[in-house]
Amino acid sequence: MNHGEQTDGAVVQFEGVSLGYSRAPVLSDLTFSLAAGDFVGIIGPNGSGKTTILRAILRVIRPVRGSIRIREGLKFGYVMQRQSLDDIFPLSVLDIVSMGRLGRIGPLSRFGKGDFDKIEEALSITGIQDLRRERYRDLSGGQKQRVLVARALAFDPDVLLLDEPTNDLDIQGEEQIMNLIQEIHRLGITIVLVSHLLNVVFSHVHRVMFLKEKRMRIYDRREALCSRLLSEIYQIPVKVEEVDGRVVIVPQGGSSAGC
Amino acid sequence: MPGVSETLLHQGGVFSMEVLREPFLRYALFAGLLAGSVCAFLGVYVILRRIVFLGVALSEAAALGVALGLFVGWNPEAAAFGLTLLAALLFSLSGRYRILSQESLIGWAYVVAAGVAIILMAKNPVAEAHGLDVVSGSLLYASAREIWQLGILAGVVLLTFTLLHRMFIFVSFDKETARSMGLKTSVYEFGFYACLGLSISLAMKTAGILFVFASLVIPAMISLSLFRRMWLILLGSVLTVIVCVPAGISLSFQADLPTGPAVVCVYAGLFLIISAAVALRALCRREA
Repeated sequence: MNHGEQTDGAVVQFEGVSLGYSRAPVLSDLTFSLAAGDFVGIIGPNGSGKTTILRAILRVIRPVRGSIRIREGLKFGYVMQRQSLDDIFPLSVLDIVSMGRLGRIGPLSRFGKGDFDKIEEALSITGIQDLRRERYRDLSGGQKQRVLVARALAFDPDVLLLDEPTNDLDIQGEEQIMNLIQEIHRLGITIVLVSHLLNVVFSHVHRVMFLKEKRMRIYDRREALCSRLLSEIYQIPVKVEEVDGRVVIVPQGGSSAGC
Repeated sequence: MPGVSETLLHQGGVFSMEVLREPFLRYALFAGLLAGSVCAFLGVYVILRRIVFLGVALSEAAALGVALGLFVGWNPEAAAFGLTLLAALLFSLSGRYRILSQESLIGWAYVVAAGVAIILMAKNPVAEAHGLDVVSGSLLYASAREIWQLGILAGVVLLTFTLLHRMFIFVSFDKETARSMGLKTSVYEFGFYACLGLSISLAMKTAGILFVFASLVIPAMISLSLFRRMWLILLGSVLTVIVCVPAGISLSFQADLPTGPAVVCVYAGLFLIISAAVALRALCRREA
């Protein structure tokens, strides 16, 4: 188990951090670091504080206790839960992806060639060039998710934070989004992925952060792929299998098996 | 006095050029167009952000400002502006308050402002007379000074939103992501609410709560039903005012109706016609 190692190459470092709203801590004593090129999955039951960690990394909320150190100049791309966005806005795909450049220019500045190039690149990576004139509200769930990923990429981030990117997607949409995230990781972007879907997380990430009862534990993927450990965390017997190189985690009857 | 339908029949249309021959109606027309256009422009954002109730609450805060100003002997315009700006500031911050919803706080502010305004008006004969104007509007008494004020306001709002349009849209659509990218979201939020508060307080003093609230909501509803692009929706909302306000003032003059409510009726009539046409078109497409 990796309890908040001090890594020289760390881009984000949490040290004894407690997070919460209105003084009530949601998470306590978080100590961990993210290295450049990391691919971390955060899993835990609903309300365990998964999104809260993302908001703390983004500096949208401040820690109640402890310190969060972020490498100077580090840029975060954030893909929030698409269900939180209101479809009433009459925005095209291009309108939304272009928003990714607004954080890079002054409020009164116009987009330059570099901005348009980044927007095109983001559309291309996410495979939505042909949808640029379509209205966001008319798209499928998977297409909307790609638009939000493209907006985050247009910001030219060092770290991409994704909050439940596969929620409400069918199996095909889920597969396509996760393949896209893998592809983005291969481009050298650090990934932090929040999900409550164990199979999705374990099939792709390098490290797993479990949240439970205000605490966090972080493991390497291989270390975490232990039915005994997962059974202990989820408090039901869990079985871990590999099918065609993919991890399948299912509840099982009877007692939990060994690792 | 001819009835409304008879008047319209004789004129062969809603708008009468006679309106332009009367100096006080010319003033009313310009004031109505300026106040209505600013409200209709901002109304698109109000509808998209789903803060329609905020519009009426800010209108009521402005009314309370007028009543308070007349009651204590302050300049009613300054009091209306100050109170509306204060309310706008509080509303822009209320999103951070997690115990009660922003909607419930807006509801609280609305009823408190309305209740206190009524009490202040009831206790002051001058305020009571002004209070009636505040509700149903006094476009017919618009002065050249008010028209200048509204013209400057329209220019400021148009310039601000033209320059910062993308930022306002981003912050309205997805504040958290905008903040994560380093945008000063609270500045844009306050800027938006301040523009809205200033516009409502100035327009309300000239045209009345009913006119202002209707102009905030109905033209934007009409335009959102018709258009798909943001700039077209903004333009369509303002064009709706340019069509409906002269028609409403003409109707008010010809049929001896209160001006604000007459304009509201024209807005509402146009909305019903457009909605029926849009529904019919959708039905035809489905059957084809």
